[in-house]
Amino acid sequence: MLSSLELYKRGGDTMKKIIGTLFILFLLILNTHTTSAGEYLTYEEITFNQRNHKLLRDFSEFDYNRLYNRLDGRRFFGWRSTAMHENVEMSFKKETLYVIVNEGDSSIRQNFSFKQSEQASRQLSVSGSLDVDMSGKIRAFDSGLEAQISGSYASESSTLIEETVDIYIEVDPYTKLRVEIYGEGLISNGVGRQYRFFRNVKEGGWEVFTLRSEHYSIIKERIDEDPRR
Amino acid sequence: MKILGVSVLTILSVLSIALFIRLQSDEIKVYTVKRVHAYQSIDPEKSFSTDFIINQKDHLLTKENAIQSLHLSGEDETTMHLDSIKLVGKLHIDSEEFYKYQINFSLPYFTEDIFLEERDASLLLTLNNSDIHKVPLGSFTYQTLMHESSNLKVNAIHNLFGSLGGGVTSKGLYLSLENRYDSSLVIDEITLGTKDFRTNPYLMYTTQKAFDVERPMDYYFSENTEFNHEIKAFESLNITLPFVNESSLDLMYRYPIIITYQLNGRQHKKIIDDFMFINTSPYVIENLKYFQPVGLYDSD
Repeated sequence: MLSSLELYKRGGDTMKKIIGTLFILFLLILNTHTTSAGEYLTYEEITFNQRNHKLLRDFSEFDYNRLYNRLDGRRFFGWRSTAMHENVEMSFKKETLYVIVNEGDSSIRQNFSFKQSEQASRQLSVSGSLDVDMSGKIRAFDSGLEAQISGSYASESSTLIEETVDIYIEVDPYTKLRVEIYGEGLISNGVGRQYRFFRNVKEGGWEVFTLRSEHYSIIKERIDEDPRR
Repeated sequence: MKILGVSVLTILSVLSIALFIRLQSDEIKVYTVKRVHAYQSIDPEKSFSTDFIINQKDHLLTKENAIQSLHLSGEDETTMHLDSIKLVGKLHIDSEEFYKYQINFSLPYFTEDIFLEERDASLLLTLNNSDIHKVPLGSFTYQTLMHESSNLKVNAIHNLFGSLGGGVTSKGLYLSLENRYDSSLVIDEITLGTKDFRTNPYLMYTTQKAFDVERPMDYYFSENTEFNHEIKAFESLNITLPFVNESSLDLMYRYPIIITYQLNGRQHKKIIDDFMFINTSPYVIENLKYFQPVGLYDSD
Protein backbone atom coordinates (compact mmCIF):
# COMPACT_ATOMS: atom_id res chain seq x y z
CA MET A 1 0.00 0.00 0.00
CA LEU A 2 1.54 3.27 -1.08
CA SER A 3 1.27 6.21 1.20
CA SER A 4 -0.18 9.44 -0.19
CA LEU A 5 3.29 11.00 0.18
CA GLU A 6 4.87 8.27 -2.01
CA LEU A 7 2.06 8.65 -4.58
CA TYR A 8 2.70 12.39 -4.58
CA LYS A 9 6.45 11.77 -5.09
CA ARG A 10 5.85 9.26 -7.92
CA GLY A 11 3.40 11.63 -9.52
CA GLY A 12 6.03 14.36 -9.23
CA ASP A 13 8.65 12.14 -10.93
CA THR A 14 6.25 11.31 -13.78
CA MET A 15 5.44 14.97 -14.16
CA LYS A 16 9.17 15.79 -14.29
CA LYS A 17 9.66 13.18 -17.03
CA ILE A 18 6.73 14.57 -19.02
CA ILE A 19 7.99 18.13 -18.63
CA GLY A 20 11.54 16.99 -19.58
CA THR A 21 10.27 15.20 -22.69
CA LEU A 22 8.12 18.17 -23.67
CA PHE A 23 11.10 20.48 -23.17
CA ILE A 24 13.29 18.33 -25.45
CA LEU A 25 10.49 18.17 -28.04
CA PHE A 26 10.10 21.93 -27.75
CA LEU A 27 13.84 22.40 -28.34
CA LEU A 28 13.72 20.05 -31.35
CA ILE A 29 10.78 21.97 -32.82
CA LEU A 30 12.55 25.28 -32.19
CA ASN A 31 15.73 24.07 -33.81
CA THR A 32 14.33 23.50 -37.29
CA HIS A 33 17.27 25.24 -38.96
CA THR A 34 19.95 22.67 -38.16
CA THR A 35 22.86 23.28 -40.51
CA SER A 36 24.37 20.57 -42.68
CA ALA A 37 27.94 21.78 -42.66
CA GLY A 38 30.80 22.17 -45.07
CA GLU A 39 34.28 21.55 -43.67
CA TYR A 40 34.90 25.29 -43.30
CA LEU A 41 32.55 25.35 -40.33
CA THR A 42 35.05 23.25 -38.39
CA TYR A 43 37.77 25.94 -38.66
CA GLU A 44 39.10 27.14 -35.32
CA GLU A 45 38.19 30.78 -35.93
CA ILE A 46 36.15 32.56 -38.58
CA THR A 47 36.18 36.35 -38.69
CA PHE A 48 34.29 38.65 -41.03
CA ASN A 49 35.77 41.94 -42.13
CA GLN A 50 32.49 43.63 -41.26
CA ARG A 51 30.81 43.02 -37.94
CA ASN A 52 27.27 42.74 -39.31
CA HIS A 53 28.15 39.80 -41.57
CA LYS A 54 27.29 36.34 -40.31
CA LEU A 55 27.32 32.66 -41.17
CA LEU A 56 24.21 30.67 -41.94
CA ARG A 57 24.58 28.79 -38.67
CA ASP A 58 24.25 32.11 -36.85
CA PHE A 59 21.05 33.18 -38.63
CA SER A 60 18.33 33.95 -36.09
CA GLU A 61 14.65 33.15 -36.44
CA PHE A 62 14.21 36.86 -37.21
CA ASP A 63 16.80 36.62 -40.06
CA TYR A 64 14.99 33.64 -41.59
CA ASN A 65 11.59 35.35 -41.37
CA ARG A 66 12.93 38.59 -42.83
CA LEU A 67 14.51 36.70 -45.76
CA TYR A 68 11.45 34.50 -46.40
CA ASN A 69 9.32 37.65 -46.52
CA ARG A 70 11.55 38.93 -49.32
CA LEU A 71 10.70 35.94 -51.52
CA ASP A 72 8.06 36.75 -54.10
CA GLY A 73 4.86 34.72 -54.36
CA ARG A 74 4.56 31.03 -54.95
CA ARG A 75 5.70 29.41 -58.16
CA PHE A 76 4.00 26.68 -60.08
CA PHE A 77 7.22 24.73 -60.21
CA GLY A 78 10.76 25.64 -59.20
CA TRP A 79 12.72 27.74 -56.74
CA ARG A 80 12.63 31.16 -55.19
CA SER A 81 15.74 32.38 -53.45
CA THR A 82 17.20 35.48 -51.87
CA ALA A 83 20.63 36.31 -50.49
CA MET A 84 21.64 37.77 -47.14
CA HIS A 85 25.31 38.17 -48.15
CA GLU A 86 26.94 37.99 -51.57
CA ASN A 87 30.67 37.20 -51.61
CA VAL A 88 31.53 38.94 -48.36
CA GLU A 89 35.15 38.61 -47.25
CA MET A 90 36.09 36.50 -44.27
CA SER A 91 39.33 35.24 -42.79
CA PHE A 92 39.98 32.14 -40.75
CA LYS A 93 42.44 30.18 -38.68
CA LYS A 94 42.19 26.61 -39.82
CA GLU A 95 44.45 24.24 -37.97
CA THR A 96 47.98 23.37 -36.99
CA LEU A 97 49.34 21.48 -39.95
CA TYR A 98 52.66 20.15 -38.83
CA VAL A 99 54.50 19.80 -35.53
CA ILE A 100 58.10 18.76 -34.84
CA VAL A 101 59.00 18.39 -31.18
CA ASN A 102 62.68 18.29 -30.20
CA GLU A 103 63.08 17.17 -26.58
CA GLY A 104 66.71 16.26 -27.06
CA ASP A 105 69.91 18.12 -26.17
CA SER A 106 70.96 18.88 -29.72
CA SER A 107 69.33 20.55 -32.67
CA ILE A 108 67.39 18.57 -35.23
CA ARG A 109 68.12 19.51 -38.81
CA GLN A 110 65.65 17.84 -41.02
CA ASN A 111 63.75 18.06 -44.22
CA PHE A 112 60.08 17.97 -43.71
CA SER A 113 57.50 17.87 -46.38
CA PHE A 114 53.77 17.87 -46.58
CA LYS A 115 51.45 17.72 -49.47
CA GLN A 116 48.21 19.59 -49.54
CA SER A 117 45.49 17.04 -49.96
CA GLU A 118 42.68 17.55 -52.35
CA GLN A 119 40.24 20.07 -51.01
CA ALA A 120 37.10 21.70 -52.12
CA SER A 121 37.65 25.36 -52.83
CA ARG A 122 33.88 25.71 -52.94
CA GLN A 123 32.03 24.29 -49.97
CA LEU A 124 28.33 24.25 -49.26
CA SER A 125 26.09 24.23 -46.23
CA VAL A 126 22.34 24.05 -45.98
CA SER A 127 19.72 24.22 -43.27
CA GLY A 128 16.06 23.29 -42.99
CA SER A 129 14.83 20.83 -45.59
CA LEU A 130 17.33 21.85 -48.29
CA ASP A 131 19.97 19.34 -49.21
CA VAL A 132 23.29 19.08 -50.96
CA ASP A 133 24.07 16.55 -53.67
CA MET A 134 26.90 14.58 -52.09
CA SER A 135 27.54 12.34 -55.08
CA GLY A 136 30.90 12.81 -56.73
CA LYS A 137 33.72 15.07 -55.64
CA ILE A 138 31.92 18.26 -56.48
CA ARG A 139 29.07 18.96 -54.15
CA ALA A 140 26.18 20.94 -55.48
CA PHE A 141 22.82 22.29 -54.46
CA ASP A 142 19.71 21.13 -56.24
CA SER A 143 20.13 22.29 -59.85
CA GLY A 144 17.15 24.64 -59.62
CA LEU A 145 18.50 26.37 -56.54
CA GLU A 146 21.99 26.41 -58.08
CA ALA A 147 20.59 28.31 -61.07
CA GLN A 148 18.81 30.78 -58.78
CA ILE A 149 21.84 31.65 -56.69
CA SER A 150 24.67 31.20 -59.19
CA GLY A 151 25.12 34.96 -59.41
CA SER A 152 25.75 35.16 -55.69
CA TYR A 153 29.09 33.42 -55.56
CA ALA A 154 32.30 33.54 -57.52
CA SER A 155 32.88 30.91 -60.16
CA GLU A 156 35.92 29.13 -58.86
CA SER A 157 37.93 25.98 -59.15
CA SER A 158 36.32 22.93 -57.70
CA THR A 159 39.36 21.15 -56.42
CA LEU A 160 42.93 22.01 -55.61
CA ILE A 161 45.97 19.84 -55.23
CA GLU A 162 48.84 22.14 -54.70
CA GLU A 163 52.56 21.91 -54.37
CA THR A 164 54.48 19.68 -52.08
CA VAL A 165 56.22 21.79 -49.48
CA ASP A 166 59.75 20.75 -48.71
CA ILE A 167 61.78 22.74 -46.26
CA TYR A 168 65.11 22.11 -44.61
CA ILE A 169 64.72 23.44 -41.12
CA GLU A 170 66.52 23.45 -37.80
CA VAL A 171 64.62 22.75 -34.61
CA ASP A 172 66.55 23.69 -31.47
CA PRO A 173 66.68 21.57 -28.29
CA TYR A 174 63.56 21.76 -26.16
CA THR A 175 61.69 23.44 -28.95
CA LYS A 176 58.46 22.72 -30.73
CA LEU A 177 57.99 23.84 -34.31
CA ARG A 178 54.56 24.10 -35.77
CA VAL A 179 53.10 25.17 -39.08
CA GLU A 180 49.76 26.93 -38.82
CA ILE A 181 47.23 27.61 -41.54
CA TYR A 182 45.40 30.88 -41.86
CA GLY A 183 43.31 31.88 -44.82
CA GLU A 184 40.68 33.99 -46.43
CA GLY A 185 37.56 33.29 -48.40
CA LEU A 186 34.19 34.56 -49.50
CA ILE A 187 30.79 33.78 -48.05
CA SER A 188 27.44 33.98 -49.80
CA ASN A 189 24.29 32.88 -48.02
CA GLY A 190 20.55 33.24 -48.00
CA VAL A 191 17.34 31.25 -48.05
CA GLY A 192 15.40 29.38 -50.71
CA ARG A 193 12.05 27.68 -51.22
CA GLN A 194 11.09 24.99 -53.68
CA TYR A 195 7.57 24.79 -55.10
CA ARG A 196 5.72 21.98 -56.84
CA PHE A 197 2.25 22.73 -58.16
CA PHE A 198 2.31 25.93 -56.06
CA ARG A 199 3.05 23.87 -52.93
CA ASN A 200 6.09 24.77 -50.87
CA VAL A 201 7.89 21.41 -50.63
CA LYS A 202 11.29 22.51 -49.33
CA GLU A 203 12.67 25.53 -47.56
CA GLY A 204 15.78 26.51 -45.69
CA GLY A 205 19.06 28.33 -45.74
CA TRP A 206 21.97 27.89 -48.14
CA GLU A 207 25.58 28.99 -47.89
CA VAL A 208 28.55 28.92 -50.26
CA PHE A 209 32.11 29.25 -48.98
CA THR A 210 34.75 29.99 -51.62
CA LEU A 211 38.33 29.50 -50.50
CA ARG A 212 40.58 32.25 -51.84
CA SER A 213 43.91 31.49 -50.24
CA GLU A 214 45.62 29.72 -47.38
CA HIS A 215 48.64 31.14 -45.59
CA TYR A 216 51.20 29.13 -43.70
CA SER A 217 53.07 30.46 -40.70
CA ILE A 218 56.07 28.85 -39.02
CA ILE A 219 56.24 29.23 -35.26
CA LYS A 220 58.80 27.88 -32.82
CA GLU A 221 58.35 27.85 -29.09
CA ARG A 222 60.20 26.46 -26.10
CA ILE A 223 58.53 23.38 -24.63
CA ASP A 224 60.51 23.16 -21.43
CA GLU A 225 62.92 25.30 -19.49
CA ASP A 226 66.39 23.87 -19.93
CA PRO A 227 68.28 24.53 -16.69
CA ARG A 228 71.63 24.18 -18.49
CA ARG A 229 70.99 27.29 -20.58
CA MET B 1 8.80 28.13 -104.88
CA LYS B 2 9.45 31.25 -102.82
CA ILE B 3 8.70 29.34 -99.62
CA LEU B 4 11.13 26.61 -100.64
CA GLY B 5 13.87 29.20 -101.24
CA VAL B 6 13.29 30.82 -97.84
CA SER B 7 13.32 27.40 -96.15
CA VAL B 8 16.60 26.40 -97.82
CA LEU B 9 18.14 29.73 -96.85
CA THR B 10 16.97 29.33 -93.24
CA ILE B 11 18.36 25.78 -93.02
CA LEU B 12 21.67 26.92 -94.51
CA SER B 13 21.87 29.83 -92.04
CA VAL B 14 21.15 27.52 -89.08
CA LEU B 15 23.76 25.05 -90.29
CA SER B 16 26.35 27.84 -90.73
CA ILE B 17 25.69 29.14 -87.22
CA ALA B 18 25.92 25.60 -85.78
CA LEU B 19 29.19 25.04 -87.65
CA PHE B 20 30.53 28.38 -86.42
CA ILE B 21 29.62 27.54 -82.82
CA ARG B 22 31.18 24.10 -83.22
CA LEU B 23 34.40 25.62 -84.60
CA GLN B 24 34.41 28.15 -81.78
CA SER B 25 34.02 25.45 -79.16
CA ASP B 26 36.89 23.50 -80.72
CA GLU B 27 39.26 26.42 -80.29
CA ILE B 28 42.06 25.43 -77.95
CA LYS B 29 42.64 27.95 -75.18
CA VAL B 30 45.67 27.56 -72.92
CA TYR B 31 46.71 30.12 -70.33
CA THR B 32 49.18 30.47 -67.53
CA VAL B 33 49.83 33.23 -65.00
CA LYS B 34 53.34 34.69 -64.77
CA ARG B 35 54.73 35.03 -61.28
CA VAL B 36 57.88 34.99 -59.18
CA HIS B 37 59.46 31.53 -58.81
CA ALA B 38 62.18 31.80 -56.13
CA TYR B 39 63.83 28.64 -54.83
CA GLN B 40 66.64 27.91 -52.38
CA SER B 41 67.38 24.38 -51.31
CA ILE B 42 70.23 21.97 -50.77
CA ASP B 43 68.02 18.99 -51.42
CA PRO B 44 69.46 17.15 -54.46
CA GLU B 45 65.94 16.09 -55.39
CA LYS B 46 64.54 19.60 -55.35
CA SER B 47 61.65 19.96 -57.75
CA PHE B 48 59.88 22.99 -59.17
CA SER B 49 56.40 23.46 -60.49
CA THR B 50 54.18 25.69 -62.51
CA ASP B 51 50.70 25.34 -63.95
CA PHE B 52 48.48 26.12 -66.88
CA ILE B 53 44.79 25.90 -67.67
CA ILE B 54 43.39 24.43 -70.85
CA ASN B 55 39.85 24.02 -72.19
CA GLN B 56 40.55 20.52 -73.58
CA LYS B 57 41.48 17.54 -71.47
CA ASP B 58 43.01 15.37 -74.17
CA HIS B 59 45.46 17.85 -75.67
CA LEU B 60 49.03 16.58 -76.17
CA LEU B 61 50.29 19.23 -73.72
CA THR B 62 48.57 17.36 -70.93
CA LYS B 63 50.25 14.02 -71.66
CA GLU B 64 53.68 13.31 -70.18
CA ASN B 65 54.51 10.67 -72.77
CA ALA B 66 53.86 13.13 -75.62
CA ILE B 67 56.64 15.40 -74.39
CA GLN B 68 60.11 14.71 -75.66
CA SER B 69 62.11 17.33 -73.76
CA LEU B 70 61.81 20.31 -71.46
CA HIS B 71 63.94 23.46 -71.27
CA LEU B 72 63.99 26.50 -69.05
CA SER B 73 64.43 29.36 -71.44
CA GLY B 74 65.42 32.98 -70.89
CA GLU B 75 68.74 34.60 -71.61
CA ASP B 76 70.17 31.09 -71.45
CA GLU B 77 68.59 27.72 -72.03
CA THR B 78 68.79 25.02 -69.36
CA THR B 79 67.71 21.42 -69.86
CA MET B 80 65.21 20.31 -67.26
CA HIS B 81 63.78 16.93 -66.38
CA LEU B 82 60.01 16.56 -66.67
CA ASP B 83 58.84 14.81 -63.49
CA SER B 84 55.11 14.86 -64.15
CA ILE B 85 52.10 16.66 -65.57
CA LYS B 86 49.08 16.30 -63.32
CA LEU B 87 45.48 17.30 -63.56
CA VAL B 88 44.92 19.27 -60.35
CA GLY B 89 41.63 21.05 -60.75
CA LYS B 90 38.73 22.27 -62.76
CA LEU B 91 37.46 25.82 -62.97
CA HIS B 92 35.11 28.09 -64.85
CA ILE B 93 36.05 31.39 -66.42
CA ASP B 94 33.17 33.29 -68.01
CA SER B 95 31.14 30.07 -67.89
CA GLU B 96 33.77 28.21 -69.92
CA GLU B 97 35.21 25.08 -68.37
CA PHE B 98 38.98 24.82 -67.98
CA TYR B 99 41.21 22.11 -66.56
CA LYS B 100 44.18 23.03 -64.42
CA TYR B 101 47.40 21.10 -64.93
CA GLN B 102 50.57 21.23 -62.86
CA ILE B 103 53.97 20.70 -64.50
CA ASN B 104 56.57 19.34 -62.08
CA PHE B 105 60.17 19.51 -63.19
CA SER B 106 63.69 19.33 -61.80
CA LEU B 107 67.32 19.90 -62.73
CA PRO B 108 68.85 16.69 -64.07
CA TYR B 109 71.98 17.32 -61.97
CA PHE B 110 72.90 18.76 -58.56
CA THR B 111 75.99 20.59 -57.38
CA GLU B 112 76.63 22.64 -54.27
CA ASP B 113 76.97 25.94 -56.08
CA ILE B 114 73.99 26.31 -58.36
CA PHE B 115 72.80 29.81 -59.15
CA LEU B 116 70.21 29.92 -61.88
CA GLU B 117 68.48 33.20 -62.59
CA GLU B 118 66.17 34.15 -65.43
CA ARG B 119 64.20 37.39 -65.09
CA ASP B 120 61.85 36.52 -67.96
CA ALA B 121 61.70 32.74 -68.04
CA SER B 122 59.60 30.30 -70.00
CA LEU B 123 59.30 26.54 -70.10
CA LEU B 124 59.72 25.11 -73.58
CA LEU B 125 57.98 21.78 -74.02
CA THR B 126 59.05 19.92 -77.14
CA LEU B 127 56.47 17.37 -78.18
CA ASN B 128 57.16 14.11 -79.99
CA ASN B 129 55.69 15.68 -83.14
CA SER B 130 58.42 18.40 -82.89
CA ASP B 131 55.98 21.15 -81.93
CA ILE B 132 57.43 23.37 -79.21
CA HIS B 133 55.01 24.97 -76.75
CA LYS B 134 56.09 27.95 -74.68
CA VAL B 135 54.74 28.29 -71.13
CA PRO B 136 55.67 31.74 -69.75
CA LEU B 137 56.82 31.43 -66.12
CA GLY B 138 57.70 34.93 -64.97
CA SER B 139 61.00 34.99 -63.13
CA PHE B 140 62.88 31.89 -62.04
CA THR B 141 65.68 31.83 -59.48
CA TYR B 142 67.24 28.76 -57.92
CA GLN B 143 70.25 28.74 -55.62
CA THR B 144 71.87 26.21 -53.32
CA LEU B 145 73.36 28.19 -50.44
CA MET B 146 74.69 25.85 -47.75
CA HIS B 147 73.21 26.18 -44.28
CA GLU B 148 75.71 27.17 -41.60
CA SER B 149 75.35 26.62 -37.90
CA SER B 150 73.89 29.77 -36.38
CA ASN B 151 72.80 31.05 -33.01
CA LEU B 152 70.54 33.56 -34.67
CA LYS B 153 67.22 31.82 -34.20
CA VAL B 154 64.06 32.47 -36.15
CA ASN B 155 61.14 31.90 -33.81
CA ALA B 156 58.26 32.97 -36.02
CA ILE B 157 57.61 33.70 -39.68
CA HIS B 158 54.27 35.07 -40.80
CA ASN B 159 53.66 35.99 -44.38
CA LEU B 160 51.78 39.28 -44.79
CA PHE B 161 49.48 39.29 -47.75
CA GLY B 162 47.34 41.57 -49.83
CA SER B 163 46.85 42.71 -53.40
CA LEU B 164 49.06 44.66 -55.78
CA GLY B 165 46.16 45.37 -58.08
CA GLY B 166 45.28 41.73 -58.78
CA GLY B 167 44.74 38.64 -56.66
CA VAL B 168 46.37 37.84 -53.35
CA THR B 169 50.16 37.93 -53.12
CA SER B 170 52.90 38.17 -50.50
CA LYS B 171 53.36 41.78 -49.48
CA GLY B 172 55.51 41.52 -46.43
CA LEU B 173 56.96 39.42 -43.70
CA TYR B 174 56.82 39.33 -39.94
CA LEU B 175 59.91 37.80 -38.33
CA SER B 176 60.69 37.06 -34.72
CA LEU B 177 64.47 36.76 -34.31
CA GLU B 178 66.45 35.78 -31.23
CA ASN B 179 70.19 36.28 -30.70
CA ARG B 180 71.56 33.37 -28.65
CA TYR B 181 75.18 34.47 -29.07
CA ASP B 182 76.91 36.02 -26.06
CA SER B 183 77.64 39.15 -28.08
CA SER B 184 75.61 41.60 -30.15
CA LEU B 185 74.94 41.02 -33.82
CA VAL B 186 73.88 43.44 -36.52
CA ILE B 187 71.55 42.52 -39.36
CA ASP B 188 72.86 43.81 -42.68
CA GLU B 189 70.04 42.77 -44.97
CA ILE B 190 67.16 40.37 -45.45
CA THR B 191 66.61 39.18 -49.02
CA LEU B 192 64.04 36.91 -50.63
CA GLY B 193 66.04 34.99 -53.21
CA THR B 194 64.65 37.10 -56.07
CA LYS B 195 65.25 40.54 -57.57
CA ASP B 196 61.52 41.08 -58.12
CA PHE B 197 60.65 41.67 -54.49
CA ARG B 198 62.89 43.10 -51.81
CA THR B 199 62.50 44.20 -48.24
CA ASN B 200 62.44 47.95 -47.76
CA PRO B 201 65.13 49.28 -45.40
CA TYR B 202 63.16 52.49 -44.91
CA LEU B 203 59.91 50.86 -43.92
CA MET B 204 61.13 48.23 -41.53
CA TYR B 205 59.21 48.44 -38.33
CA THR B 206 60.01 46.80 -35.05
CA THR B 207 57.00 45.55 -33.23
CA GLN B 208 55.97 43.47 -30.28
CA LYS B 209 52.83 42.34 -32.06
CA ALA B 210 52.62 38.75 -33.12
CA PHE B 211 50.10 38.19 -35.88
CA ASP B 212 47.67 41.00 -35.98
CA VAL B 213 49.35 42.93 -38.80
CA GLU B 214 47.86 41.23 -41.83
CA ARG B 215 47.01 44.15 -44.02
CA PRO B 216 49.75 46.22 -45.66
CA MET B 217 47.98 49.47 -44.84
CA ASP B 218 48.66 48.73 -41.19
CA TYR B 219 52.38 49.22 -41.65
CA TYR B 220 54.00 51.98 -39.73
CA PHE B 221 56.59 54.10 -41.47
CA SER B 222 59.90 53.88 -39.71
CA GLU B 223 62.14 56.87 -39.30
CA ASN B 224 65.13 54.65 -39.99
CA THR B 225 67.24 55.79 -42.88
CA GLU B 226 69.30 52.68 -43.22
CA PHE B 227 68.84 49.01 -42.53
CA ASN B 228 71.00 48.43 -39.51
CA HIS B 229 69.42 46.51 -36.74
CA GLU B 230 71.38 45.42 -33.75
CA ILE B 231 70.21 42.57 -31.59
CA LYS B 232 71.97 42.50 -28.24
CA ALA B 233 73.19 39.24 -26.72
CA PHE B 234 70.32 36.93 -25.68
CA GLU B 235 67.71 39.45 -26.83
CA SER B 236 64.96 39.20 -29.43
CA LEU B 237 63.78 41.42 -32.24
CA ASN B 238 60.35 41.28 -33.85
CA ILE B 239 60.24 42.98 -37.21
CA THR B 240 57.66 43.66 -39.88
CA LEU B 241 59.15 43.92 -43.36
CA PRO B 242 56.92 45.31 -46.11
CA PHE B 243 58.10 44.23 -49.56
CA VAL B 244 58.92 46.53 -52.44
CA ASN B 245 57.94 45.21 -55.85
CA GLU B 246 60.77 45.85 -58.29
CA SER B 247 59.23 44.38 -61.45
CA SER B 248 56.01 43.93 -63.38
CA LEU B 249 55.47 40.56 -61.69
CA ASP B 250 52.90 41.12 -58.97
CA LEU B 251 52.40 37.59 -57.70
CA MET B 252 54.72 35.73 -55.34
CA TYR B 253 53.56 32.75 -53.28
CA ARG B 254 56.76 31.02 -52.18
CA TYR B 255 60.24 32.31 -51.52
CA PRO B 256 63.29 31.74 -49.31
CA ILE B 257 64.53 34.16 -46.65
CA ILE B 258 68.24 34.96 -46.44
CA ILE B 259 69.35 36.99 -43.43
CA THR B 260 72.87 38.44 -43.62
CA TYR B 261 74.34 39.58 -40.29
CA GLN B 262 77.62 40.73 -38.76
CA LEU B 263 78.99 39.03 -35.67
CA ASN B 264 82.40 39.88 -34.19
CA GLY B 265 83.49 41.51 -37.45
CA ARG B 266 82.51 38.55 -39.65
CA GLN B 267 79.58 38.21 -42.00
CA HIS B 268 77.22 35.24 -41.60
CA LYS B 269 74.08 34.05 -43.35
CA LYS B 270 70.97 32.52 -41.85
CA ILE B 271 69.06 30.70 -44.57
CA ILE B 272 65.46 29.59 -44.60
CA ASP B 273 64.66 27.46 -47.64
CA ASP B 274 61.86 28.47 -49.96
CA PHE B 275 58.51 27.89 -48.33
CA MET B 276 55.05 28.01 -49.79
CA PHE B 277 53.62 30.82 -47.69
CA ILE B 278 50.46 31.15 -49.78
CA ASN B 279 48.42 28.32 -51.22
CA THR B 280 46.04 29.78 -53.73
CA SER B 281 44.97 29.51 -57.33
CA PRO B 282 46.18 32.38 -59.55
CA TYR B 283 43.36 31.66 -62.01
CA VAL B 284 40.84 34.04 -60.50
CA ILE B 285 38.98 36.94 -62.05
CA GLU B 286 41.16 39.47 -60.22
CA ASN B 287 44.20 38.09 -62.07
CA LEU B 288 42.69 38.12 -65.58
CA LYS B 289 45.09 40.87 -66.64
CA TYR B 290 48.02 38.58 -65.79
CA PHE B 291 46.77 35.67 -67.93
CA GLN B 292 49.32 34.73 -70.59
CA PRO B 293 48.53 32.55 -73.59
CA VAL B 294 50.52 29.35 -73.90
CA GLY B 295 51.30 28.87 -77.56
CA LEU B 296 53.54 27.41 -80.18
CA TYR B 297 57.11 28.63 -79.90
CA ASP B 298 58.79 29.88 -82.99
CA SER B 299 62.54 29.57 -82.42
CA ASP B 300 63.23 31.72 -85.50
